Amino acid sequence: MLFVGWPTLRIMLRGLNLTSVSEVVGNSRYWRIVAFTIIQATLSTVATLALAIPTAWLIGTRNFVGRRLLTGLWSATFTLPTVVVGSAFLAILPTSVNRSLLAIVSAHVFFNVGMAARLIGDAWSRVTVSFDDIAATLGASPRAVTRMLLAGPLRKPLASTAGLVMTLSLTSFGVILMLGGPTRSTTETEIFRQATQQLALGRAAVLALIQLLIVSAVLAWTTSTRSTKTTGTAAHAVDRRRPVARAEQPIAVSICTAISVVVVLPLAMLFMRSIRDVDGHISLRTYQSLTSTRPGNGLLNAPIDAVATSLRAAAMAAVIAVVLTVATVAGTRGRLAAVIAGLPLAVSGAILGFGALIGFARPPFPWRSRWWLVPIMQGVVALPYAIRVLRPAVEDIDPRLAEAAATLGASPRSTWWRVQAPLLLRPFLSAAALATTVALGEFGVTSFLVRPKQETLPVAIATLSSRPGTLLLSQSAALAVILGILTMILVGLTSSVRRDS
Amino acid sequence: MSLNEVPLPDRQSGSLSVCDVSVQVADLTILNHANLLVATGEIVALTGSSGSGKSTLLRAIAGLVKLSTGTVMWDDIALHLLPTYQRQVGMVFQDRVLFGHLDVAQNIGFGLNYTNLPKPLHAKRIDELLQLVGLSGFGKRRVDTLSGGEAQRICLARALAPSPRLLLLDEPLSALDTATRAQLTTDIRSILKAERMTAIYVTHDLVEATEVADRVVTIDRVLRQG
Repeated sequence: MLFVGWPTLRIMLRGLNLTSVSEVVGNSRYWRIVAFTIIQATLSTVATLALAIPTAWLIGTRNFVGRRLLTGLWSATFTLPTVVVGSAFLAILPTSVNRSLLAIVSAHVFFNVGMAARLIGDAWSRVTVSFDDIAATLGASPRAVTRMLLAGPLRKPLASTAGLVMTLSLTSFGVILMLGGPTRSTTETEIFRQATQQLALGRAAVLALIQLLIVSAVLAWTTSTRSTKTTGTAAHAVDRRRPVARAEQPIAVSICTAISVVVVLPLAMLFMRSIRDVDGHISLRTYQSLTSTRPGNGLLNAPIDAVATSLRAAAMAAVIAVVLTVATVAGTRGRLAAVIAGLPLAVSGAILGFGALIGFARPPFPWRSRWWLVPIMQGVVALPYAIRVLRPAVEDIDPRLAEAAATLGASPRSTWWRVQAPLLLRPFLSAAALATTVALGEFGVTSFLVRPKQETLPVAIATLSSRPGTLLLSQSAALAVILGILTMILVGLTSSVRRDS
Repeated sequence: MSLNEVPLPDRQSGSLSVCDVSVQVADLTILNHANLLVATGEIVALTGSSGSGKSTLLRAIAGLVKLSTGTVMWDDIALHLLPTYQRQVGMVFQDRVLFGHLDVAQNIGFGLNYTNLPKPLHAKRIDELLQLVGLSGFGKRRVDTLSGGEAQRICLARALAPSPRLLLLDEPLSALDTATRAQLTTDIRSILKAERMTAIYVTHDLVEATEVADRVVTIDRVLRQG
């Protein structure tokens, strides 16, 4: 709690200062930034849902060859670090639009559409059987049934997903920093500029409070829409998806093609940029150039050094996150675990990073220049995700196993080591892999706290892409490809461990 | 190999006396001033209607629920003051509760780790119990490959392994089919007698109760001994 509570408290103390408040409130530029923050998030949510709803219909109610593979592929984008997404859209969009609202909204759609389609599709798969059949036997057309579903039993899952997409769009610091450029600021990127470039910590703190208020309002709304029951739920274990009818085939193919293009094209273009040298030829020269230092690129080390730095920090962060997770989950503090699990949505990485920047600058906690602050803060960011994996696994353990062990003479400690711990081994490994993934791609906290020569991969990617020059942009793309591959390996590891368990 | 060729883990003989035991959860009284005496080597069947508190009484004796009043004594040892793992009271649960990450032999041997039986003798004790429950050669099997009846036999063997002073069986056959129940009803009595076990057997089936037990006790909120 020290590493979340103290930075948040410092933001509040710093932000509740009359001079800083009047500086922000009295300046229309900041209101425009707040408005832009809300507008881009709203547009991103609408555009994401527009694509996600037909996709959800397809994956939630129809069975076709490759459904699982495509669903997995589409959802995988959600696990990519925001800077990889930013880099991918820098690679795909023409220069005229690559620092625009369109670029930001497109990147958010790419990032969230698979996840949103999966969430809505899951809800759809549970309601469709009873409603389809009942409505059809009463004479309703498929279109009328769909309208009825969206306005009825799917309303709450839709609203909940919309709230989640909106929250993620409000807090996608990496995407906005890379695609918004200096002219398209959101509240978070403005906090970054005020804090690190203008050293106006008071104004940054006020903006951080505004951001916290906006996100809290959206989260409160999302929570109020979240349903615990879905009307007309069919049996969970039974997959009653129907084959795609002949008449539905064109629309099914269109949806699959559109989503696959949205998901694959930016990544393919990112890869192409990484293997295209300054003369436009296909080669690995960009990757070779990552091993040497280059004055003026914003990095003191060779770009490739960021890989080792990132892996080291992420591994440490994962250890910290998993140890804290076990301590939180293994005890009887279920409510605390639930609160922590919800934290990353409420307090984003950028806000936490800014809080740490001002909170750990001087006594009683003068830790800002300590090398271990970045891994610890990354661990704190990864902690809720690790808890989300381990907590259900702990709760799933049949309490009668512990009772049986006790009647056989095992003390509570012995029961933990001999019965519960072996059952949690796979979820534990899965949580560790997920924590490493989150820490590896973490950009919000790290960008505020990183020290020279200790740049992580996301920081190096953002630094290179923010400087002019084709080589630097290609190097940024190459590092993004490396980070993307590392992330996919870890995500694959997480999924395979979870599937086996 | 004849039964009990392997020395049993230490077992204290004695008798159980449950005096004035009540169990309350929130404002609800689940067990109301129950009394019960069980002599050494005796098998007592507890019967009664659903919700009468049969299982709760077993859980109270095992220390799995807190007593609001009363005492549970083994001769002069106050079991109710000890945590479950120190009571030396074995239990067979209604649903087959086996450790999924351990094989059959490891399940049976689990409790032996907390007895004074030397490690080299554990394997022999496990073999002996497998033979006793009629599942010789099952030691390396994964528990999820067992049928319902086989799993419940392993649960019984596991509970017997550390040679507890008292064995509690909570409707151990209720989830099994009729044929398996009939077979196991006979087997359980002979297994318990072979191990000279003091036991309390909960069932709602009076026929099963009379077949397994030396004495049948009906519980109906206030425990009546028959």
